[in-house]
Amino acid sequence: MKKIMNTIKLKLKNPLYQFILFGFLMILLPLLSPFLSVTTVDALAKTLIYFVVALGFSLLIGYGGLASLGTSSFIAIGTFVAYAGINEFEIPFLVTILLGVVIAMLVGLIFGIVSLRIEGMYLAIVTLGLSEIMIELFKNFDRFTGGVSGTTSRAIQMFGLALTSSETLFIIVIAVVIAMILTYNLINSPFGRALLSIKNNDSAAQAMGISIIKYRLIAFIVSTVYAVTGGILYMGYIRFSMGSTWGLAISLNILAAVVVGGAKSIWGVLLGTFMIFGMDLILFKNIPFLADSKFANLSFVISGLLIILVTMFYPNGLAGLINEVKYKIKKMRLNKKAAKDHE
Amino acid sequence: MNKLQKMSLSYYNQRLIKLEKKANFYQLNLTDKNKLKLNKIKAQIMGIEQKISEINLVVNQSVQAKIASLKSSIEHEQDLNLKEVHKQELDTLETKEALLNDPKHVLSLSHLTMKFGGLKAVDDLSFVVNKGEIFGLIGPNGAGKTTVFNCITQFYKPTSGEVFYTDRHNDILKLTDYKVHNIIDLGIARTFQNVELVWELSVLDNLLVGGHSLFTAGFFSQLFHLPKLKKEEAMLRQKASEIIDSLGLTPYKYMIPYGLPYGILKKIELARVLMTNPSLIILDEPAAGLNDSETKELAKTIKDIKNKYNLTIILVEHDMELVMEICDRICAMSFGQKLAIGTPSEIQSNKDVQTAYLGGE
Repeated sequence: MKKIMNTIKLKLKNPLYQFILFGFLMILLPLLSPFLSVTTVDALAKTLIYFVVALGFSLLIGYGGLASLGTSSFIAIGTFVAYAGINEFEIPFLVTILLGVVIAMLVGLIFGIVSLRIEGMYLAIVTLGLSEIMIELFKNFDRFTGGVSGTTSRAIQMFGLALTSSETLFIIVIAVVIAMILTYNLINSPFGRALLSIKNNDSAAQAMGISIIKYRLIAFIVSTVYAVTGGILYMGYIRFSMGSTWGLAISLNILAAVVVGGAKSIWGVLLGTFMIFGMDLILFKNIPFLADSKFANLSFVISGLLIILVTMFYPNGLAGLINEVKYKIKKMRLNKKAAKDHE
Repeated sequence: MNKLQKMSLSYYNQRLIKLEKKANFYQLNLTDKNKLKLNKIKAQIMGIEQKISEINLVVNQSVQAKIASLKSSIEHEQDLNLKEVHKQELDTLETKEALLNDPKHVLSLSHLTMKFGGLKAVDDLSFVVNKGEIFGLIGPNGAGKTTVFNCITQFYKPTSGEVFYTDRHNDILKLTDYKVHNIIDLGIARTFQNVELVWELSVLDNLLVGGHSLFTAGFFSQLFHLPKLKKEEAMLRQKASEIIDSLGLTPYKYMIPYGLPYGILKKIELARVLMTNPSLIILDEPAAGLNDSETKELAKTIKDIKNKYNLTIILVEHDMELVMEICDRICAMSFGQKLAIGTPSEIQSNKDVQTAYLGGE
């Protein structure tokens, strides 16, 4: 028995197994959904969907050092691709996702070529402008976007069955696990190192043969693909999307999620996303005092305060905080051991 | 040379470099499957080499014609300014022709000029670096030494003049045709005046960043961690560990370089340069900020790596003791111009150099 536990422990040191375990835990969610309140399940599903988007964004900001504010318009593109795929063309869902990836690559390429010649704050402003243009376009081209009033999608068809919301959750969980694994792979390969070296030191990167514009463009495209995939999943689960909801607020929330969680850690990003998108509905609304209608907006104040505190005192985000605590516990144990040995 | 030839030549050269890297990878992992691939790649390499030599033949003919026309135009030209321009152009072309038959040549500057606005940071500088030597570049602050380095590694594009380089196939290349991130593929690697490392990565990973240009695995094998990437990564990790051990950096292998002593950081940068399979390395003030004993150790290290990896080294340095000890030849600069070039003892006894360093009279 002990032997088995030990092998499991060893296996769990490998992040890939951790991600898969997380996936299995999350699959419990749709199974348990009849026993949970609708808001809780919805909030968790939204957290998972935005987690996919945030993972792509963490690659961009944590590794590439590029702050883009166009994320929400990419999610919007995803929702409208999903709408078109499910309702207008009636193609299988997996094909819709593939179509979304291709469109995302094109959009990312165009956005990237336009905006990646500049850095820092100016990049944020340019992408913000581009995304505002996109929102206006969504309002006016109402064939797939429904214009100002938005669109409502049918349920996803798979294997000839129309999936219910909780069945769609399975697809979301699978997508999340795949996204985590792919992100981990990218981070731990020459691509991730190249991005980090560009962020740290672009002249050294160039001298080592790393083409700055090429890697930034690839990072931008990858993050766009993640965002569009997130949008497709959103449409699959929520089944409603309106052009004007995908404004600056969502982009900023995702930025906040990544920064609060720790842009260089996959688990940190998950925590951050939960804090921004899920905590309010899942935790605060279940506390009787806060759920009182008088204090309905107090939860926003609390999450805002938490964000301020984390960014002020832990620039590496929650992941940095957790690492620090881990390190301290380890040190304390070592000290205790040393003291015992001394006796 | 017209534009089409130039473009196709640079395309073929880059393709050749890529294929050679692949062939190198398969050579190191010889299985039956890889043998087939290796043979295929070798055939491709042969084809490309043939194409390159065809283009070169045409180009050479046109260069000869150009030389003849320049010569005649110099004789007949009335405008003195234009005549000067033609003369420089002719000189550059003839230098290149001469270099083709010089087996010792590695790098040469021909009438290199770099202007920043009205300031001439480098003014009509020419010198030749020979294979296997340690070449020193000295001069007072602001003499333009680092600018020369930046012009060689294409961080700056020179205002006029050329940089010639003999690559692994003994072809003479114009470095100004290359982009800054492609220079490393030719075997030229540099260090920086102020240590430029990736502070968020461990020392080992920093070396792997140095090995970036050696990876042939494409984006998809990186995305899915296919066996090819894993094998390549393992090979380069092995290589990096060897270099770390040989430079005595083993205790720092898994550390983040931030906060390590300056001497160690300089060594890490040197190790990173060695990761890139260089044939020419350019060191920008390798001894800056080091104490006496560290400098002595550095001199030994530089000599050792030169012999071990069969390198040519160019360095800028202010520490005269180090320069005089290790350099085979030295070029002294002042205000962007060449003062003197020669062996250390020649430079020491040169009047102009003494004036530039110690003041006039």
